[in-house]
Amino acid sequence: MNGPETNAFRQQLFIPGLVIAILLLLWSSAATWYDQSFILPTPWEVTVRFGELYEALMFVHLPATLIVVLLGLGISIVFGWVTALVMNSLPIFERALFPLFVLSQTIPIITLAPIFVLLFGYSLTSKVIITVLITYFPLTVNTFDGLKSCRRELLDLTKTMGATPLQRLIKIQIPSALPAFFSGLKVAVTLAVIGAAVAEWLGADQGLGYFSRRMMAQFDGAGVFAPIVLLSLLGITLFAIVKGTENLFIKRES
Amino acid sequence: MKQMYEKSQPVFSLSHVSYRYDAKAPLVLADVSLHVQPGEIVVILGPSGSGKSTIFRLLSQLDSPEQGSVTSPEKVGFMPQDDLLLPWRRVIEQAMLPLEIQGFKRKDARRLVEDRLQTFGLEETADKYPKELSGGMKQRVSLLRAAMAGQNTLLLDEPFSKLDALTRVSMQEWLLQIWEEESLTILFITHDLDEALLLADRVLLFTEMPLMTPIETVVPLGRPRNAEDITKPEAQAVKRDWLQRLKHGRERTIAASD
Repeated sequence: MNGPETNAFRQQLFIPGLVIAILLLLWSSAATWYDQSFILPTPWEVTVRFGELYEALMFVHLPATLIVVLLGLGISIVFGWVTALVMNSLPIFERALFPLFVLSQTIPIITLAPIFVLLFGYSLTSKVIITVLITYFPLTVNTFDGLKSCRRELLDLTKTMGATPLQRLIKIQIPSALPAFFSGLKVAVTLAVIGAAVAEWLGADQGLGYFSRRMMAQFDGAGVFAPIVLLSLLGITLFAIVKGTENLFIKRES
Repeated sequence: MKQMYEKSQPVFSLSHVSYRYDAKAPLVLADVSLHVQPGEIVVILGPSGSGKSTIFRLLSQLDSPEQGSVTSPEKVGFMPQDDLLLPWRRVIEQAMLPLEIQGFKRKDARRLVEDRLQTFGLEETADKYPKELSGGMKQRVSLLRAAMAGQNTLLLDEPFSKLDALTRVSMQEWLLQIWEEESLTILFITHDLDEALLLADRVLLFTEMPLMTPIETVVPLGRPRNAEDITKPEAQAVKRDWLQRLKHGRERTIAASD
């Protein structure tokens, strides 16, 4: 019973599971003691409310949020790769753009969000833009670092084989950059969920962020938490999908 | 008659070559001449950091000389000190890379590599990733890739220097065996005197910086050769001579830089 497999089980599932159970218990007792369920509902109340709201949450608001997340991520991935490749092949762009990237990160993007709501209204566009703004940076910077991390000697070696710049890019540099890109993507998926929720919170007529806010206005504490639980599950699922794709692409790790 | 002509045509040659990294830097190569005939193993021997690798950069056209001329075949197989294998490619795919770059279809490249896996002792490991290989195996893969790239004309830059002593000896003997079977032409850089004795037909000894005309030694050992042969008195005499020359060279280099 004390083999390496039991050990792995303990570390990977048992201990985090125990911690979660303890936290739920603490939450539950705190909520019972506080006894103001419109502010702090118990986990059980949240679960019951989730059941009641199931249809609206799963078939109206989850899809709305998912579209924002996926569109935002998709656009960020494309623009991130393009920017990283341009900065990698033309050093002048690196010098021109990289400081701007870092600088842009000192601006709390969330505070810019209302501007986009003003510009584009309660539309998909404003929400997607906010999601892109929040995910573009980690994707671009990680991908760029990945491209840069490719060893000079390796590029020289392929030069002696007669490789064209395009061949070097496709056969050497892009595969070299994939691990870093995936690290960026893992950060970006969770940020994308946050970005989408914040955007919906600020101005939308559907989506999990919007729903949570509406429930707040109705002093429905459990109703505020139910979509938040779903947002968190969405983040976890997307993260797991990225991790799975990464393992598929980066076989050498296995 | 044709064969005679080909024999007199060197595969690699430098003729009165001078080189510096940039206009203000000191010379790295000062009027260096050398040549390698088809089928030879020529070893460039010299202290670390003396600019030996520059010769390879010139021969593989990564750099051009300030003066003099460089001849080398269009396709050269270059094998660096680090194996520089691609972590995302299997053994067989590593060796396919140069062929893919030359425009071969993957299927054809695969077949060409498959034909040579056995010779290089890589049949069993063809589908493994570099992470799963030992240091010696990685160098075999790197050599196979170089052979595919260079059509048997190889520049090997201290390829075994990072291996432990025992693995190194077995790799050196293995290289000799491959060299014979595949009729390779090899220019080999090392700072290891024993390695030079074991491998070389001719050794070009560079003792000073910048590199000038090397001292040429024909290794007084027959073929086939194995690791014990370098303990023969005639080989040891050569080694003693090299050691003395290297010591003088070092003293002169230090004196010149003072």
